[in-house]
Amino acid sequence: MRRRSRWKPQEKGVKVMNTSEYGNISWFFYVIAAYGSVAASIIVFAISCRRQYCKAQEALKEEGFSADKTW
Amino acid sequence: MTAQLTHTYKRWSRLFVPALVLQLIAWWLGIFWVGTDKDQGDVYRIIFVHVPVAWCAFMWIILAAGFAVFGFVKKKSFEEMDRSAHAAINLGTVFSALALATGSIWGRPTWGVWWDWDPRLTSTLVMFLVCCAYHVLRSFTPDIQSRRNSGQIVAILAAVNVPIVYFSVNIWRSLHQPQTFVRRGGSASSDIGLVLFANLIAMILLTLVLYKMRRTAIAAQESLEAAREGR
Repeated sequence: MRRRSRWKPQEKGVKVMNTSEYGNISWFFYVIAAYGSVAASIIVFAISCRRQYCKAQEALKEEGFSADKTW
Repeated sequence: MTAQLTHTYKRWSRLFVPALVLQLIAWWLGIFWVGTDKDQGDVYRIIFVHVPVAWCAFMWIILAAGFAVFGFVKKKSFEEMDRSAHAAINLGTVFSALALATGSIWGRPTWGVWWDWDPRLTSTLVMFLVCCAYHVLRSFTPDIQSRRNSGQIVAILAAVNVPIVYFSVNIWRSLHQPQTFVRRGGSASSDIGLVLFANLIAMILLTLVLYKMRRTAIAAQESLEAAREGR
């Protein structure tokens, strides 16, 4: 007699989760991930603005350009 | 003019911390003050960051196109408008990416997937890619005049996509929910609407400060380029 395989095919397609599946702790993980990514991006953006501005200003000073002639 | 630039930059960069604090207060209201949703539980709180971020992306891309059109119409202010459009597209790119990221984080617990080729998600991705194309085109065009011309055209193209993204949930069958607050008979309660509005205002103010900082930085950079070319 042929033995039946223990292997079962996985259910394909989108798995819709119930709210109970992500429970009380993991909702916080998702929320913090969303808010954290936005906060981090905003801070990085502000720092990049500052760096771009300071680098340009320093280069202008170092290369001895007059403030009137540079614009 | 550099003195004026320094004055403008310092004035706006001083406003960054207060604007960020305002945004943090609005986020606190969204995470801890407002009640839990009866269908989604607490994970719905992502709405207070996802929706303002997406609306800011729309706003800055439309403004970039507005600056571009104004620059083409009024040739005198073409350079000024190009700088404004450049800074606005910078914000549009970052906020489109953030709308995709926060939407994906929200999609995982509610839809069960991080990504789906749904009309709203796909059109937002296209909007983000058009914004990226703007930056690629600018970086690979050495001549400043043609860089400005091509940049302005791509800024206008990016804005064409905004109404497609916005109305995609109404036009096509979508996994994404339809508009909750704009349409009549929306299902959200008034306190959720109020906190969302507070978050939207805080995010607009914060992006306005970031826009002014970026615009001044671009002006300083172009000032340096112009000085080097004139040497």
